Amino acid sequence: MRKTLLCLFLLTLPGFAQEGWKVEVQLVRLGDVRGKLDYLMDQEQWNQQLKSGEVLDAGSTLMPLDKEVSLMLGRKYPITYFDPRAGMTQVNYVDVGFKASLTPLVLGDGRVQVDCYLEKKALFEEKLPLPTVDNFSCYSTLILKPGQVGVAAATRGMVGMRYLKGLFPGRSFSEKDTFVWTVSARKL
Amino acid sequence: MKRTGLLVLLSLSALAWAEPAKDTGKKEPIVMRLEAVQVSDELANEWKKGWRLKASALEEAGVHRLQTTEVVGITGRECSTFIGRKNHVIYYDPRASQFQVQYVDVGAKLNCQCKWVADGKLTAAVYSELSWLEKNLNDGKASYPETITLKSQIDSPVFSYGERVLVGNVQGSEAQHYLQVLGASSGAKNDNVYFVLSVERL
Repeated sequence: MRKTLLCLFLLTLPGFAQEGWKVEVQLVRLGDVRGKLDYLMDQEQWNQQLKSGEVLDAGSTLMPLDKEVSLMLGRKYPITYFDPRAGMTQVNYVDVGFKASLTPLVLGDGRVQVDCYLEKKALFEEKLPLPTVDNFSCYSTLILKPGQVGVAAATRGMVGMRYLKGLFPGRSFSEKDTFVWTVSARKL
Repeated sequence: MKRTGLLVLLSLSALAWAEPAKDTGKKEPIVMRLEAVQVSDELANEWKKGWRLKASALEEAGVHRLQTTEVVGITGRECSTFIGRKNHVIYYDPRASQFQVQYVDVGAKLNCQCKWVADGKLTAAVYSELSWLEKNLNDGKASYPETITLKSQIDSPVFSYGERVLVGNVQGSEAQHYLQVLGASSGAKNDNVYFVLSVERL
């Protein structure tokens, strides 16, 4: 009886051993890629691609399976307004900066599906009570092999460039530059 | 009686365990690309003939790319990307006795959901927008953004991976003004603006 119970207990152990992944998110300026952008790369290919670009923002986090994780670095900007019904001033906060929310799902073939919301925000005008905010964001779904780097979203052109200059004041960009959000995942 | 009760309970539990209807569409990793382009009058006459373009169409002389927006996803799931500015408008609503806020987005926006139809074939539900702030109107109390916007919303017919699909087109006086505000070359000629969608399998 004891042996049977022990066997049953041992059988349940793999269920408790959660596989861990580390995920890295980057917002990168690439040079003139002339439409030859790879959307799925191994780390070595990505390092080569990065030689002609620069990482503007990056962050990484552990990613337990099937659970949403999030990462944020930035300011919480207060928004104040008078609420006549409450008869008092209220405060709300807007997140400004770098933000990533990721939900992983391991597929049968060992790849991982990552649903992600990635966002870079910067204040354009700090006018009270509400600021004007520049924004480069995406909702995307990537399917990655362990160690692979995937592009979640990309933009290039005259319209996007004006806001990217607002997102990264003081930097000089060219209209031929491509800006990409990337996500990479590796097993721990 | 007991037997009937048991049967009812069994069928109810079977219903509770029955899996919800599954989306049978195939899930394929894809990249969706929307290109806003200004096109010469000569090419525009050519492009008018259909809604599909050859793969090299955007490399031809007479095409000026205004903005390219790309987002990666899988078939059957909506993906979106936005690069631009969120302008806020605040106003007092006397009926609700409180201040209200509205957001006016300007920039490049792409919302897209592709559906797998058959091997190598798909359809797309696309919402695209390319806008720019034209001026701020001021009533003395607050300023309100006035934007110039080109937007298009379609459910496409069936097309193939790699094909370029014309999802929207404008020309004429409005297009001339739009190009002027955007800072692209303008004038009575070459005032053709197109949204072109392409989808590739990853």
